[in-house]
Amino acid sequence: MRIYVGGSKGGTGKSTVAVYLFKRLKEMGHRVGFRDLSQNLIGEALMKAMKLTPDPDPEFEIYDLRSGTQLDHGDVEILVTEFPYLSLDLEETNSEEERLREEMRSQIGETKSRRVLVVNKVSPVPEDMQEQVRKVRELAWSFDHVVIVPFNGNLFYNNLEGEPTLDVLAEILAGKRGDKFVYPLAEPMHRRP
Amino acid sequence: MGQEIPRVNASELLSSNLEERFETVEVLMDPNLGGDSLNRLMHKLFYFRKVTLRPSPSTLFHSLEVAGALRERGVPTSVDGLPHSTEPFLVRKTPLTPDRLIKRNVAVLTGKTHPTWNVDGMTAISYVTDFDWEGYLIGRDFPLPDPRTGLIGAILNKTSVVTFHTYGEKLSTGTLYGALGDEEYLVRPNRWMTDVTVVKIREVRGDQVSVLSRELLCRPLGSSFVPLNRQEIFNLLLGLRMRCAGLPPDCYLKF
Repeated sequence: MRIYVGGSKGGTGKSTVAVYLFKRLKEMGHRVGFRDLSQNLIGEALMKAMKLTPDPDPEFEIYDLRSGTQLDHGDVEILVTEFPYLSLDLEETNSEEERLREEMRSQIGETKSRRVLVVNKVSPVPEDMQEQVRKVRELAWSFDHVVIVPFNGNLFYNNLEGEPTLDVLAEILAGKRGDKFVYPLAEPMHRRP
Repeated sequence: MGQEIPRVNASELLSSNLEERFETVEVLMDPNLGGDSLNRLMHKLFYFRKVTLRPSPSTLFHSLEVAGALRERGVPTSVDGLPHSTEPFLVRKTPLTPDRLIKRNVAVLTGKTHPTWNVDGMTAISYVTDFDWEGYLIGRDFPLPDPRTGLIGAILNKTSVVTFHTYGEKLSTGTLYGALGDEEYLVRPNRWMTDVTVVKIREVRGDQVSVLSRELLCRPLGSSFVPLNRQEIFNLLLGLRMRCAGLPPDCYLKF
């Protein structure tokens, strides 16, 4: 399964999400590959710092794409964004042309990619979080899965552990669950007592 | 197992054996809970699969403490009809050593305690009985011997705390110990010191601080909170490598 991880701008945590998913899928016992196609090679550096190595003949191949690259033709396409860029990032996704393009693809029998939206670094302040959750639900209707990742000090320092929403996303990718919305207070299956 | 949901006063529940016959219970938190009855109540409630607590105006403190402890033990709990929820078991993988962060020994003064005044073993903290203990003593240098809020106090150099006591339909009120400056929010961590709940201060009258009841009761983690401003919340999340998961989704969707 090819998993493309992209975003329209730098700094949203695209590489962090890509490497986190690599690490979590490996911990779950899968063979995982990783290709850093970004301009700054942060993903590759993170992999090196954490002593993570891609597997040969992987079940999941994660591509950390260059910011602004059109996400297309992956089995799974993950768009990583954050506030205040969400509306802008979703403008094209939600456009009439994109809807028609999708319709045409399905008419000619082209397999549709699974599309995931990751909204990263959601504010810890209650009134902001409430508004941001509302906005995500309003705008992200065209995605198969929507993951709302709260601001997390671990991820900020590239300490890739302790983010349950991304653990849940790894479980979704591995076909263990199918949540449409993953909220910040999510609980991954492996942590349930 | 019966189908109906029994509705009982907390003090009556203590002398009953409802947990043997029912999976779900609704408890009216009456003001007659004294001595060690709060702990006894909590241990009884652990046996249920689902718990609803109904606070009276004067039993908010007990309701928050019991609800917080139940949720952290994985018992789906609701306060005042808000959505039932549990607290995710988000244990630290690397130990939290406050002594290293503030370059002083940090300890908690033993003595008075409540169901949520505790931290997981991955938070390296000592308990001492000596009030003259050298180093940062939670319960002396911080007003309450609650390790969760005390650790935030030690790390962010905060000496104020708000403890909730009075429930109201719209606003709930707590007493401020210490002073308020530019703090707009109240913060309380979970027992693993990995996540926090944040509520916004809505009203301050003297030493009485009020917040929206819905915001306070949707994700109860206990009764005591540290007042922080926006920047300090980020400093806390970065300093202790924590996150803030907000409220259970139903709380956003229904209100």
